[in-house]
Amino acid sequence: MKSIHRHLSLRLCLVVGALLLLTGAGVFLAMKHLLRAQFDETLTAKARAIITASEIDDGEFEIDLTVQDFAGFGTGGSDYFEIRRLDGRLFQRSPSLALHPGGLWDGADFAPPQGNDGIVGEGAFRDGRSARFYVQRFQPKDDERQRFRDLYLVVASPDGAVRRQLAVLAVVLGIAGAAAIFLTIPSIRIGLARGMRPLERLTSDVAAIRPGNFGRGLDPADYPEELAPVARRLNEWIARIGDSFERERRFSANAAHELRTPLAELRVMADLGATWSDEATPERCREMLAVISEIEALLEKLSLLGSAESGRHVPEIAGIDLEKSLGQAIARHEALAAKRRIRIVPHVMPGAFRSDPVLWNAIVQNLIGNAVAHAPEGSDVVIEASPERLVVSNSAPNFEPADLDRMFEPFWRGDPSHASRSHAGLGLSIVKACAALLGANCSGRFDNGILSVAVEWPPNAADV
Amino acid sequence: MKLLVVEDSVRLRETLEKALTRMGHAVDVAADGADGAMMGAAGDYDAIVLDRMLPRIDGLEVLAGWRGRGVRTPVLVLTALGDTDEKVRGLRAGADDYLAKPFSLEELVARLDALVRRRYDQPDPVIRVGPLVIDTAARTASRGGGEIVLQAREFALLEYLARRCGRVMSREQIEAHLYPETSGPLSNAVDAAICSLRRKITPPGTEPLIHTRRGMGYVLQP
Repeated sequence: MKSIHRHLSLRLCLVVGALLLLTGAGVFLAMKHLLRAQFDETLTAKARAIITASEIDDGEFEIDLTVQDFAGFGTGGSDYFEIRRLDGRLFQRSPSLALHPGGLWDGADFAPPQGNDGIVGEGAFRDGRSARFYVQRFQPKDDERQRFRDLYLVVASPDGAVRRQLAVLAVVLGIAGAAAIFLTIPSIRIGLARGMRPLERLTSDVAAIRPGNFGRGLDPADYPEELAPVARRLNEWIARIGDSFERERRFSANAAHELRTPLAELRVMADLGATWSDEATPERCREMLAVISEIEALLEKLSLLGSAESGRHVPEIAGIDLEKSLGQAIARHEALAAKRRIRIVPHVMPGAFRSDPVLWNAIVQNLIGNAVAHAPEGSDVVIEASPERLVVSNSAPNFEPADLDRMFEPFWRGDPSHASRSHAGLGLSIVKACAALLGANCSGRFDNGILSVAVEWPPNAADV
Repeated sequence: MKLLVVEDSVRLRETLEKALTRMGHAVDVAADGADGAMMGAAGDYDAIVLDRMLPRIDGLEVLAGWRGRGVRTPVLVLTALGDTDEKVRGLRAGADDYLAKPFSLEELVARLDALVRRRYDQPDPVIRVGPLVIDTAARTASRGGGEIVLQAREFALLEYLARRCGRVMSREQIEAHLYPETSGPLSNAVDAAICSLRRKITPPGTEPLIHTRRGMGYVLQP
């Protein structure tokens, strides 16, 4: 797995190493250039001093010896010059070359210059020493008869001292660079380790959050300003995941709760029949079948809710006869309505209506079934239906306004006991999930003791 | 045992009543929290089976009400809420045991037996009264090694007297424990049951163990 620490350490070490290398090279080259330039300037100055000190006196060529000595060309000096004619013949040489009768360089090495400007170049003496050479044509002063106008000067100075200085500089820079790199690597690692501590703390804090402990979250104040927004964002996500977990947990617990009681009934009835054979009567078996039917109905509702909430059911829009579909739904609940002396009052506004027949039937059946089951005996259930909206209203004396927020939650019931087993509290959550799949809005209102649940289609919702 | 079952599910309530009655227990039933609270506070039950979620008054509120009023009857809470938090809440509210739905009748009865044994400070399910051995778990009785065949009601009467060995129990007390409040038994039902039981547990040539205290009632003692 890629490590940010390792990756950054390597990158930073490489970058810092390269920077040190470039800096060292830059310093070295700059110093080399500077020393060379100074050396060449001195060489040029010496050459010009020779040229300036050359003159024709009484028809003879002369160079002021004082200048020669001062410039280091005297006997024993370390600088040298030769004056030659353009045809290569040696005309004059510095006293310092007296110790080198054969000369330190071959005159043919330096072709006579074409112009009058001086040229500086690199070369080597015959004894192997490297040197800098200055070459320039010149004419001594007072050469009125033009006898010496074909002269050129070659000045040479060994540059070993400069090279040694550069070598020392290179060694110093190399050692300093190596030491810097040697110290930089641990410094970078320590610095990065310190710099990454908040990130590591964030990682361990996030790792410490367990599915059952989502409420803990992270405290943004514990982190530097760069990570505080991350902590805040993580808190938002943790809260959302926590809510989701809690909803799932509640849903599972409620589903298990709804199934436990009918299963207990089945178990105890089966135990009774198994213990005393005379208790295994057809009536008891019918009771057991009724319990199984209730469990099946609950599982079907759970399946429908799961399918609607997960979006697995893809709506297939078709034309629906509003009046006919409502009539069929009402007919299914007429027996219970008659038993509870409830009057179902439909108001249908005709019009072209398009929806998914399965989802539409689920909405209508659950809304009417819910109202008929929970309305007080002898009251009215009013249905208003149009292509734009469906509203089912009934009297709800035990309903509290605060219940409006919870009534669409799965398994919510005004009475949490099993007094009304046929309703597990899934009807309204199924209505809401189906409406959402159809792009409709589902809402509840409670005014003057009347609870109304409305499903409203925005324009073009049927095209979902 | 005299039991109270407070359960809102009609089928479960009726089936439990039927099963426990057939085992020889006197069973009273209540369908909601309000009735259950009243009956549990008024009746002298050996144990109470209480559903956790009840209409009108929640099961845990009923339980807390009993404990607040000094009712010490062992209570077994039945619940469809199976998570640990719920069990802890129930036990802290004063429940003596907790049983999650679905459950087997056998387990329910075994737990009720255990609760009643604890209540009467008799952790051993086998009660010995002289030569008489009563196994309340196996629901069998024997004397001197010879098995005694008893009907459920007779066994319940024997167990009732055995748990109160040496104490004189009046007819009214026995009746209240052997018959549910709604049954209204015949006036001589207790005497007839005592007579039948006495005959069965006293083979010829052996000492009688059930003694009549005139004007007071009956006592079981060696």
